[in-house]
Amino acid sequence: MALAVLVIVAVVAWVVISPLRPARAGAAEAADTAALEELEAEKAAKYREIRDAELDYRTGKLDEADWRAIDRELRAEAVLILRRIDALGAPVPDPAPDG
Amino acid sequence: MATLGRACLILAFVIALYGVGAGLVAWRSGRRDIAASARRSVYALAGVLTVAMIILESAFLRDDFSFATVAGHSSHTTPFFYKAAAVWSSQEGSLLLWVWLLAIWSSLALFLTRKRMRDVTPVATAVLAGFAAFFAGLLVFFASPFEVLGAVPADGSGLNPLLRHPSMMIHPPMLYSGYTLFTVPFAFAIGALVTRRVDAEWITATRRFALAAWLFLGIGIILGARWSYAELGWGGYWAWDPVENASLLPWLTGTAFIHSIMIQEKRGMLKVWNVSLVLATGILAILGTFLVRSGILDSIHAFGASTLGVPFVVLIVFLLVLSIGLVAWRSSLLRSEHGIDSFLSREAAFLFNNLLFVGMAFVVFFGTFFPLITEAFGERRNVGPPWFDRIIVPLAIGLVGLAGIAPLISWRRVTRGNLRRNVAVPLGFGVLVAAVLTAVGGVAHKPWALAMFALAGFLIAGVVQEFARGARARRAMSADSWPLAMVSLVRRNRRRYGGYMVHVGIATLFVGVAASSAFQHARDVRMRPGDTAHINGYDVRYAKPLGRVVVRDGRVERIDLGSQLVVSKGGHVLRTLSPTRGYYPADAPFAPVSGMFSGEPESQVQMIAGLRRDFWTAVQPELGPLRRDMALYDKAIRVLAQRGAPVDKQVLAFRIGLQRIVDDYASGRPYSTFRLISSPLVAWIWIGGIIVFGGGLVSLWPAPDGARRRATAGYAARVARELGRA
Repeated sequence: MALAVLVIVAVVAWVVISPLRPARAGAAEAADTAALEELEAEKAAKYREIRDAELDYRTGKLDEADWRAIDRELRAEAVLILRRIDALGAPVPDPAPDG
Repeated sequence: MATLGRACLILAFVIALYGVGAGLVAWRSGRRDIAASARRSVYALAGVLTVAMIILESAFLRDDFSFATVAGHSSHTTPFFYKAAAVWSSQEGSLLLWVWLLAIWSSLALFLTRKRMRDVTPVATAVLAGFAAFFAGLLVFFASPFEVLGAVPADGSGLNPLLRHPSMMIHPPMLYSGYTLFTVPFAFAIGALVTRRVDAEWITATRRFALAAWLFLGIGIILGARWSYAELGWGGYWAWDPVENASLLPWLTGTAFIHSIMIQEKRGMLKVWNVSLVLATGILAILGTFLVRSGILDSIHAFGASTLGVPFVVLIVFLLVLSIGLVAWRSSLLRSEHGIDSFLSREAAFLFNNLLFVGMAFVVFFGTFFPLITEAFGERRNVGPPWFDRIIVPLAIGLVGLAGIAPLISWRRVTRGNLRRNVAVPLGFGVLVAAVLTAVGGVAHKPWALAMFALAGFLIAGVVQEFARGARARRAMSADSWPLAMVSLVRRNRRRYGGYMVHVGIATLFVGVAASSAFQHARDVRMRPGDTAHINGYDVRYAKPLGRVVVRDGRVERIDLGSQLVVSKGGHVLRTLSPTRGYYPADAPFAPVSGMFSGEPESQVQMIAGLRRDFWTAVQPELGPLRRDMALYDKAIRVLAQRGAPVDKQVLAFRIGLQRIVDDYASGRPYSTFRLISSPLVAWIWIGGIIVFGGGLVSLWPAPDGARRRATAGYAARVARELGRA
């Protein structure tokens, strides 16, 4: 029984401690990553809004004129988000150090 | 094995504390390696608790009565599948299930978000690990499932008979999955507030967990209702019992949340509302566990009043103070980016539905805690189901109306012409339903039920129209066949059409509730063999009494006493029903025969279930005339024991005594009291639940992720290209 407990403790210690290593991530990088994630979320939401507006138009809930106005406005906002993403210079955050 | 189990719990407690500390250090320092270590501590927690869960499960399956919890909640005669489920019938087992599910779902959430929100996840990890530390601490210091008995009994007390129902095997894991999954968006909301990341990213990252929590909790509630209907012997599925209400509260606020987050995602509005809703939902999930486990309120479902009330109250107060403090601290960041353009828009409909959901939650909360509130001022008083019905029914009707109109209007604004075009057919159908039911069905004297049927008709017609128009639009673009266009439509817009299916399911469920409540016929009648009772056109003849001794693995498990009822309508025999009542033994060493009738009895309900109507029966045999014989056989066995007769002789006398009592009952003309209920459309409650489940799965299923790749064309073209891929 004691051996089983020791094995479990050893496995847990290995799982938990193995990622620990000297710090390498700077605060600036973390801030950039956060801003990029925020923009990616905004982009995804904007795209969803554009698709929803189109579906609303095609299912008769929006007039063509209204839809075109909303669509233009939303696409312009999406372009602004893309510009801000590109300004940050990194399309996708780099992978995490572990799984 | 108990030692290993205890070691696992202590280790889990230590790991959870490490997770809290490492998460907070990672947040303060910004170090990814510490954040990864904190995250991995939650994985390790899940692993260690899985080992503990396996040890406890195997103890139940092996009938290892050296474990106090196994001896107290299982027995040799408990059927195998119920032994597996008996783990969570005890307080300590259910707490282990809670923290185990928490660790599993937290690990999944942290794994899926490991490359996102790197500033928020360390705080979220600390919060999730904090919950785990609380529950692991309860298991280590207050209610260990690995307590062992000094003297190992030959048999256990057995599982509470009321819990021997198939839905009880999955009802608690479903409820607890719902509760624990709601801690994920709760933890991320705390993380977002602490790190000032109150944009929609935390919502996007945890939306699926909120939806899964809502779905699991909903399934758990439906299964609980089904169990109540089929097992408790009173003929209802919902009694506004505190424990039922405790599960409904986070479901109501959670439902409001999964609607209102769409407004924040799309319009940057309702940030304070959303974060407050999810924090309230997380706290209500803990409150639900507290109500079941504390025994502070009388409930037919509370299977273990305990001494854990104080730690839970401390946790709930801490969470309340933390939540309110954080929202107040970050209030300047939580301002809306836009306002509502028009009150005739989908976001306005969602806003009103949120107000109704929160209003319902407030009513349920007030009614549930009314006994404690009144006790604080003097005499403890309860509010009963009529009070809840009087307030909740109009709110529920309003909700169905809003759920009907929301899919028919667009975001931002609606023109009158569009509104007329979209609402005309569903509204016409709703009016038609009302007219037909008034003229033919004779339901005009039940205005609330009539309103519910009409609005459900409006809602379902609206959703059918939406599917048809959407599929027609797909066909116009792709020339697909109708079925293919329908599949493609749903696949590309899972959230929207899955949500519509959920609306249909809820409307169906409410129709079943409205019909079975408003048009139910119920009667309690005392009969003896040969008598006939009449109810709502049914003739119920008590044909003969039934009795049997149920033996499992060579031991007497229970005594079944019941009746054979012949149910007829219009002179035609519909079915023969055999409702029985199962009697389980209580620990009565000096009265073994009468002790067989002293445990918790269980109603074995019988019904003729159909899509149009259920005919439901339960029986309560009168045991009075049997008491004299029970006492005689008890005395005979006592005399045998006093004279030093061998145990097998005493057991034989016990068996003969029981069999004689049962045979005498079955061959006599004993009185029984029957509960007879004729309820329309009950089946649609369960069918509605299945539709909700299907719609929830469609909404939950991941959308094709084509929009994350980068395009190099001009920005407008890039938007078009990325939109086309998703």
